[in-house]
Formats: sequence, structure tokens, C-alpha cells
Amino acid sequence: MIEFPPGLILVLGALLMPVVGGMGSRVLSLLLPLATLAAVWMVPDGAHVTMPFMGDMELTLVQWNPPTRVFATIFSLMAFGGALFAFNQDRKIELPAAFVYAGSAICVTFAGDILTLFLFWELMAVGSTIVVFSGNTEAAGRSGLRYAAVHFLGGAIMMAGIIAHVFALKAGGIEHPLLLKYFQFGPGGFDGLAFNGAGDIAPFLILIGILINAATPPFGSWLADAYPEASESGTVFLSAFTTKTSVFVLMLLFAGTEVLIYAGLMMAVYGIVYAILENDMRRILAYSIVNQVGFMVCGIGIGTEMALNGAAAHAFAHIIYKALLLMSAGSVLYMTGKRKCTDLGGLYHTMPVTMWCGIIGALAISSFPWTSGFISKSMISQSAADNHLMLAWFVLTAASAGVFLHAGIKFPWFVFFQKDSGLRPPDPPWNMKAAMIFFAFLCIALGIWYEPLYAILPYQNAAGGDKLYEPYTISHVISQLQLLLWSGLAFFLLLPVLKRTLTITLDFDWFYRTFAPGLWRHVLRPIVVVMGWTRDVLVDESKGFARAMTRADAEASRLSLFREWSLGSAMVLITFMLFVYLVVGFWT
Amino acid sequence: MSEHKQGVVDALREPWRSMLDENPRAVRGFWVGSLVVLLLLAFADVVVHHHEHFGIDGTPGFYSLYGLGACVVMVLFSKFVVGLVLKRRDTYYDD
Repeated sequence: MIEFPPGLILVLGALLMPVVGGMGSRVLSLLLPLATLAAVWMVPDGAHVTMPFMGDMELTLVQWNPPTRVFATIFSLMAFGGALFAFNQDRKIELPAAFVYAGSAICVTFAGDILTLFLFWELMAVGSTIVVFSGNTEAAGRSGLRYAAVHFLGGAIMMAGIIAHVFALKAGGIEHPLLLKYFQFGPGGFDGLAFNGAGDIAPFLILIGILINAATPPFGSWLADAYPEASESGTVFLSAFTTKTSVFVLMLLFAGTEVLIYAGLMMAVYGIVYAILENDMRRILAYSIVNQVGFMVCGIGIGTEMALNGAAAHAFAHIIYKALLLMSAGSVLYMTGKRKCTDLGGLYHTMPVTMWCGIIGALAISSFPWTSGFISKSMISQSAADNHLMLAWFVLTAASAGVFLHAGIKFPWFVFFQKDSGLRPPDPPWNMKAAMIFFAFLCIALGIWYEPLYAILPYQNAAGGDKLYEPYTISHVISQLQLLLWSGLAFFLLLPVLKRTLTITLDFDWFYRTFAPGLWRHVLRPIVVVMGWTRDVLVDESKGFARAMTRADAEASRLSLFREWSLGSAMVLITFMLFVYLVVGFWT
Repeated sequence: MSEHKQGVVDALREPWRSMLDENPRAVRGFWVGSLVVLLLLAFADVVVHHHEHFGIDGTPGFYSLYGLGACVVMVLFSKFVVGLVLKRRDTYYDD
């Protein structure tokens, strides 16, 4: 019987790792995620663990929410794969920080109320920021600061939403709005989040807080800014948890919210457009995270049980193939020290394992039949079709084609084929290869034996007791292959246009990286300086003027010893004169 | 006209040059194989019927043409609309 949040095994174990040190800490890094995975599955079905908090409040540390099992399972698996990939690196802080990050993400999935969720949500931000910092370059340091600023702002907005919710309850005549029942998830609990009326801003604030973490434009530029600056193993961890935890929370609180359909579509297209223009291989993959999360957010917006199952399954599949792609890119970076497509190419000569694993990840992200992406993403598109959401279906289908173009072909082509860069690095060390092969195996295994995944999806009665979903119909397979391979043709026909250039594409982060500092330097600061001068003139100069007028007083004040006294004497003098005036006035 | 046509073919060959030098048979095999698969797939719709939800998505050849068309539009839009406005040298933030 597990009576505590399983994620704490990772969080607390991580604190132990630096103490143990050496080989022990490496072995621990593989055992902790496995222990966590086992613990997740040992939490009894009706588990409900609470603890008192700040006097009269209560936190629900363990509770099964509908999507908990699928998310907690993949988060634990991901922590294991990431630790295996990072096994040979010797940055002391990175892996413990990544475990705090992963463990608190697992705690979020078990949180039974918004306050518990918030606490672990913030702990995730702390852990992930340290992972970014562990990139250990100046760029990583600066990027990490921006990352932290954005995430703590997001957390503050979410907290403001929670507080607004408390005030709304109070205004509604509820005497004790801090009782657990007003915060817990589930029917009859945290239901203040219906968008009912313009006066209630709580749901908007909470939604914005979550969308910041989901990397929805315009709040999403932190992702492509920070993730590629982390170390090769750090980026693998980062890709998995923050955005997918947001998907989990959106599913819990905002399923069926129509605006999410459009937010998701926008993310899907945004990711493609920016990835097409990008030159840095890990930034290409970072933009494609936004694209993939867009599919999930859209599914949550559609909100039917099948769409939600699709979003959860897609999160599961996505974490694996995205980590695999970033491991492949990370191996290339580790062996060559280069990350720009313009510097790479022709690596198929000497990195076959990295190349094939990268290609399998690329096929999975493109949702080729018999890979994990196919059995998950098609559920979301199918829900859009079943609900006659024409715009959503057409955009999702175009975006599916675009995924193959921007990630599925572009990444392997520019890194492993294309022009010969002359680089001849061997495949990376055994542990990196093992992690890649493990995840590549999962990508294909899930595409073929998808039943175990379907069995842990949140809504088991989505199809009314029938088989949950049948991905492999002839029409499905053929139409998907047509869509993908013909978009592949588009890639090769447009290759002359897609030639890589040494450029970046400005994103929303321009506003806080260039616009705001520029505004301060060229507009606000000059204004402040002028105001300072004005103050100097008005206050100091007039003081000097007054001093010149009363020279005797000025001489006295030159000796600071007498300053206080002279002020007091002036008071005495004024009081005396007033007294004289009063007496004289009284007399006459 | 023929000169222009030559230009297009050269432009298409250019990205393959180093692989063509190394193993021309593999590259040609890849292209011929891919084109055969593409055509087979496109004409598979004669036999396979797609369930239609929005009218045109049941039309034979829809997925092939939509995939190709959507990608061409997205690439051109990225390159010549977004790219034109927002593209900067990659040292932009370092300066």
C-alpha cells in the first residue's frame, strides 16, 4: 500500500544523490525512476491522502484523477530513459534537479486539489530552471533567468486566479471559502471554473497561468528560447514535463472549452512555420513540441471522451518520440559540438545508430502507421471529424502533413544526409545508444501493441462499451500514407527554397529581450534622467538660493554640529514670536 | 524556356550533389522508388473508399493533393511572409 505521493520518491531521492555521490548516485539515478514507476502502480484505486496545511486548510496529496495513470506512468518512464541517457555525464546538479522536476510533475498528476497542484507546479519551475542553468554556458544562464521569470510570472497569475476564486466564493455568500471541498478536483469540487459571467476573472487567470506553461503563443516563446540552451541530456528532460503537465491540468479543468480548439490550432501551425525557418536542430525540435502540444490542446478543446483519450494517448506517445528525437540530436551535439544545420550533414557515414533512432522518432512524430504517433493522433483528428468541426479537421490534417515536413524529414535530412560536412564522429557512448534504442523500441511497440496504452486511457467508456478505438482501418492507413508521402514530395521539390541560412526568427520574446530594454534605454531612462535634473534644479538649486539669501544661517549650517540646534532655535524663535503676537493682540 | 527548365532541374539536384557523387545509384533508386510509391498510393483511392465527413475529403486523390498543397502553402508562407518580416541574423541577440 502506497500512502504518499509516488513522485516524492524522485524528489527526495534526488536530494540524496549528491550525498551518495560517485557510482552509487549513478545506480540510484536508474533505480529511483523504476521505484517511482512501481509506486505509481501500487497506489490503491480509491486512494485519498490529505494533510493539514497552514492551520485550517487541507491538501490532497494523493488522488486518482481520470488522466493520472497515463501521465504518471509516462513521466516515470521518461525519468528512467532520461537518466539512462544522462548516465555518463558528470554535471553534479543537473540530474538531481531533473529528478525534482520529474518527481514534482508526477506529484501534480496525483494532486487532488488546486493548492497541492500549485505547490508542485512551482517546484517544477524551480527544478527545470536549474536544469536550464546546468547547460553551463553564458547563454544558458541568461536564458535560464528569462525562463524562471516567465514561469514564476505564470505561477503568480495562476495564484491570483486561485485567490480571485476565493473572493468570488466569499462574494457568493460562502462563509468558509478555504475549505478543501471548494478546491478539490472532481464533480462538485473545483467547479468555480465555469466561465460564468464577466465579473469572475478566476478561470481566465488560471487558464492563462496554465497556457503560459503549455507554451501557447504569444506566451510560448520561452520554450524555444530556453530548451535548446540546456545540455544535451537536460533538453531531453525539459521536453517532457512542463508542457505535458499543462496538458494534464487543462484536461482536468478546462475540457471542452471551445477557445482551446483555436489555441491548439494556432499552436500547431505556429510550430510548423517557425520550425521551417529554423537552423538550430534542437530549436527545430523545440518548435515542434509546440506544434504537437497544439494537437493535444485542440483535442481538449473538442472535449468529447474520445478526444480527451486521444490527447492523453498523444501526450504519452509524444513524450517518447520527442525525447528520442532530442536524444538523437543530443548525441550529435555531444559528439560534434555543433547544433546548426548549416554545420552538419552527411553523418550517416559514421553514426548509424543515432541516425536510425532519429529516423524512427521522426516517423513516430509524423504518425506513420505502425508507430506510436499513428495510434494516438488519429483519435484527435477523428474526433474533430465526428463532431463536424470542419476548420479544426482541415487545419489538423494540414498540420499532420506539416509535421512530416518540418520534423519528420527536415531534421534527419539536414543532420544526417544532405551535403557532406566532412564530420566523421562515431556513435555516442553505450548508455546514450541504449536509451535511444529503448525509446525507439517503444515508438514501434506502441504502434503495434497499442492495447496496453488504450487500457489506461482516462475514459474507458468513450465508445459505449465497444472497443475504445480502432486505428488500423485500410482507409485510415492509406489516407495517412498519402498525406505524409506526398508532403514528403513537397519537401524535396521545395528544397532549394528550404536551404538553411544563418538566421533566427523573431518571436514574442523579442518584446522582453529587445523592445523592453530598448524602451528603457532610449525612452524611459532619458525621461527619468531629465526628471532627476529637474528635481536637482528645483530642490537643490533653490536650497542654494535660500542659503544665499540667509547668509548667516548658511554659515551656521556649515558646521553640521549646529544644524539640528539652529533648526530647533528657529522653532523656538517662531514659537516665541507667535506668543508675543498673541499677548500683544490680547492686550490691545 | 529549355534553359529555364534546366535551371529548375539543377536547383533540384543541387542539395543531392554530395550524395550523388558518392552513390548515384542509391539516390536514383530512392527517387524512382519514391515516385512509384507515390503514384501507387495516389491511385489506391480507385480501390479504397474514404469515408467522407466534409464533402471533398472522400474524393479520390484528396489526401495526396491536400498533403502536397498544404505543405507548399506552408513553406511559401513561412519563407516569404513570416520570414521576410521576422528573420534576423542569428547573432541578433548577441549584439
